Amino acid sequence: MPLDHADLADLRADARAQLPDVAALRHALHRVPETGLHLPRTQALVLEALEPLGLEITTGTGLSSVVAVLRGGRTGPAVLLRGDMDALPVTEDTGEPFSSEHPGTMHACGHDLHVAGLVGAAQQHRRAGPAAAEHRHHGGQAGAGGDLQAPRGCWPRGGTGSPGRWC
Amino acid sequence: MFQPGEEGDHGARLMIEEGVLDAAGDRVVAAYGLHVLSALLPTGLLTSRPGTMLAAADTVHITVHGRGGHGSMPHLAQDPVPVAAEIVLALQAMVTRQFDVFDPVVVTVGRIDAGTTDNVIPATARIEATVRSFSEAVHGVVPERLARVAEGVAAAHGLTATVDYRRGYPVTTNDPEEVDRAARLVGGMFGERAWWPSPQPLAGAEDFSYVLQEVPGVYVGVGATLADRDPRTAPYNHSAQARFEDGALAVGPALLAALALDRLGFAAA
Repeated sequence: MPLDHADLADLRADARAQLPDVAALRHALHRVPETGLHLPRTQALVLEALEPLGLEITTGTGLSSVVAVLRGGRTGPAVLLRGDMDALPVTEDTGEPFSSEHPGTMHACGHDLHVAGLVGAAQQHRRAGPAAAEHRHHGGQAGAGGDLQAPRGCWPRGGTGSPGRWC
Repeated sequence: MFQPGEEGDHGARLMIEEGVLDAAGDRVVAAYGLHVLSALLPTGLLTSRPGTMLAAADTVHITVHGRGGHGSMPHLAQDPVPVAAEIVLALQAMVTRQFDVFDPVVVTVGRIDAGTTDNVIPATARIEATVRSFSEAVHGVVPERLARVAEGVAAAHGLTATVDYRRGYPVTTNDPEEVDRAARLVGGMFGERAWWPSPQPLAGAEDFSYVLQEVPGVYVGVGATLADRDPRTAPYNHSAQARFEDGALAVGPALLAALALDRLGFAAA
């Protein structure tokens, strides 16, 4: 069944609520741009940001990728969300307070927003998605409260920090 | 999928080879990716289109092999310079005469190099070009036709040409149903006017195309022009002055989350 108007309003409100945190992560990534296939500082920031979410994490062998699997409360198909992480050999000239600290390298293609945005999407799933109840069941902190007996496929409404209501 | 090496290093292909599409157990049923734009689109606007979204981008290096000599007696040499010049023009004729204007090819010779001084005929001349195409059908036949032109022009003058064709990223192709899904979700979250159905592809290229060759999905452009800038004149991606609006981060994550939940049927019934 497709998401309805209330579902979408909740996702929108939740994204706005977490914007300061996601923007702060973006700024941290922007300061340490790396090019190519090996991005150790960027990878470390991603791993640190994902750590509280309790995902199944694997890292690449031939490149410094991160794959994070978030399981819902039921078996079934999976989808893939992707964010690219690398920067460009450009000397930043923006005057941003969070400008690159790596001379000759810059997130000039906005991949810092892609990485932060993908972490943000994972956080939204962890708070509001079907995996939230599963995560709590295993002792994690899932943000908006809820009931472990909630039927699968349902998730709390009300956005970040609210008590939420169950479908 | 947190991926290094998009800017030319085929990072997405490497991650596919390392198993990202099956990381959850079974092959994923859909894939979604976004790209922010520091110009063209104001923050709050999103865009995509069914079918071709981005070009394929290849590189070709052509070397014309002649025989060097004295500039005063070209008949005793095999001058590669006029042959290289003729190849450059013949490639432009190829583009317009051998390809459908509605399924086009862009060939831009960005570098041409030969010789050392005015009165010495060099032994070789080199041409480097970028080749953009917008369907896999055309992407597939360009290398052969381009080589035919280069080798044929050289042969017409008694010289030879070698063609080193390097395939870059394939065409980025969106699944029409997934484009409809994105448009519906964006409309529901941010209003129908937040969705701009792009009338044409962008000529950039992207290695998320490798993922979209394997599973259906959609690639969405996300406006991230600073609020006080004109999208028509703001510095675009790759510029040293490119700045991106943090506010776009209130849009992208919500869309990614919504796409996943909607595709997997996790609506709050």
